[in-house]
Amino acid sequence: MTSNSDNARKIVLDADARINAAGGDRTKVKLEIYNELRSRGFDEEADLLMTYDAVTRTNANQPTPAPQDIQASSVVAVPPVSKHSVFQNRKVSIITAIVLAFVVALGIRITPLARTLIVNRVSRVVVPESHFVDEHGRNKKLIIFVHGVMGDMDNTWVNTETHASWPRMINGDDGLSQFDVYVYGYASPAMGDASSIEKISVRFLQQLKDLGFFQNYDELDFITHSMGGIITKRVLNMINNPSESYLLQKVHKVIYISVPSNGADVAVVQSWLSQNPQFRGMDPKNASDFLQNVEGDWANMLRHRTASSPFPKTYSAYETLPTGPIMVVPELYTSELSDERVIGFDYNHIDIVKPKNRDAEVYRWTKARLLETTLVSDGGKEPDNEKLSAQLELQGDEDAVEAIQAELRLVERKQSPSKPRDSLRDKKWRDADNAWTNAKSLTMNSERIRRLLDKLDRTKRKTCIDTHAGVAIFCEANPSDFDELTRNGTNRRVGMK
Amino acid sequence: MLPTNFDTLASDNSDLKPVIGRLKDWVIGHSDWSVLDPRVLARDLRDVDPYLLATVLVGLVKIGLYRRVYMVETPSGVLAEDEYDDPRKVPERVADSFFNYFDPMETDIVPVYKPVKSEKKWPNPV
Repeated sequence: MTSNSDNARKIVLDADARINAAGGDRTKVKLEIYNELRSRGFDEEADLLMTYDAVTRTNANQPTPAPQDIQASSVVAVPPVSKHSVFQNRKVSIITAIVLAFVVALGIRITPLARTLIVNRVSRVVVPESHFVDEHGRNKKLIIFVHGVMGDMDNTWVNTETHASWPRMINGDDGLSQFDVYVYGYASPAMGDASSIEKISVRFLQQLKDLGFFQNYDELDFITHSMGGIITKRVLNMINNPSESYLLQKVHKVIYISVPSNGADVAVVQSWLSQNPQFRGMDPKNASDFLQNVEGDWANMLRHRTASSPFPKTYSAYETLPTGPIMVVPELYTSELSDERVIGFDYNHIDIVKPKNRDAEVYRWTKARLLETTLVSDGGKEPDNEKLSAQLELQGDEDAVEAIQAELRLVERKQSPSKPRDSLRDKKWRDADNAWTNAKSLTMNSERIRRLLDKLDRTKRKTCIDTHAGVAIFCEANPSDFDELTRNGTNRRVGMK
Repeated sequence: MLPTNFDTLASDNSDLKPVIGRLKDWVIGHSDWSVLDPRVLARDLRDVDPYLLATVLVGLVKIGLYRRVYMVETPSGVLAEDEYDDPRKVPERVADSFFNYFDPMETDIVPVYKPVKSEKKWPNPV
């Protein structure tokens, strides 16, 4: 071998020195020496020189081509691969894959824990304290406010411009003086961990029972916003059973404002970012079963209301304006299970529960619903002239008050079995029944009836009481007017006395 | 992967064993390579004596495991596609991959070692 030959080494090193000394003509000189060595029979030294020169030239910081340039050459032949090397490569690949899988699994396991630690450190969960608003205990009716996700029991309802608080406005409203007000709160951080909708619902129901609301109040009403509506629905569904149905009948009306009964698309995005499971509970895709169950149970409960158990009444409203670029709860995601038409208000998801004052549209609508159903509850059970008068006075309808008072006196007399009806009244009853029969298929809309009644001749005004549903509404004594009323959208029984 | 059965060469040249071992490790660690380029080997095995490294490469040709071809380095540093069994056969003008012609005397002629293909005889189709 040439390596053993000092002579060969000397020849190569001398030749390489001559090549390096040639400067710009080094390739030409190299070929000349190569040719010279070949002609003198030093073939091996000639080949050795060419390789040695390439190596030394590289080591002398000459530029070298990138490996991929060599690989890209189309003339390079790919040699056969031995079984041993394939096995060795596979072994390395398998070990690498196992290590990578372990690292990924560890990452998957640890990342949520680390994220929870960090998020809960940054976004601490503040445990709220639900409370009454101002004085309470004098009234037998209670309004309970239930806020939505990321809200809280106080700030959710406060207008940022006027700093008016909806619960406080109700407490100071003479028209709603018969109500106590309670604001329910639960922890709902934007990023941190919190209770799920189901857990909050169970806790909320227990609190209602423990605080004695069902015992101390004759009537419970709920005003709910966003996810608060889902919680309230779940609570009421939980007491919709034979042993607790008497509790349910204490709940007279539930007002849903921008409640995502069918979920909310924005919750999907938020559920990616947040640890809060409440967002996942409103994901229309992943939580559809939960939401459908809640909505299905609720529909079932409403369907089984009877004349003797007409509660709870339910009313829904939704926002029509986007919150930023997003429509949080559009009409599509709002429940249609409402005793009146679902109303859209020109507010965004946040401002819809922040009325500026008592003249704000949403405040007046809610107040009307509270009073309407209050009339329902009172009228059906025990007609109370004073209560009705007080409510109607608030509406500025003194004529109606007088008429109602007179009619209610008649009603009381007529309810006595010793006093038979006269023929004219029997005829009007028949007319009323016929009108009811015709109206069965029409959509209920008592607000429209009210408006229609306002247009009628007040001198003929009489009080009509729906003895089936306990609804006291005002209508015209003239039988032809019954037809007009029912054509315009009532499916409640309209009885006339 | 390039052939690594250098045992014959190592047994015949005990003084080259360390260099042969280094070269074998390099080949195993570069399973995606299909040629031995002295320039790349020199860069990766800087601590190896250049003369011994060149001797081993020449020895691989002698034992019939590899064959040597000469390729021309283009002005950009990569090797032109054409290969020659003798450096004296390199023409005066050589084209790079973009068909730009250049004078090989202004660049360099590099020996590259490629594995000898096994001539496997397949049965004739019936």
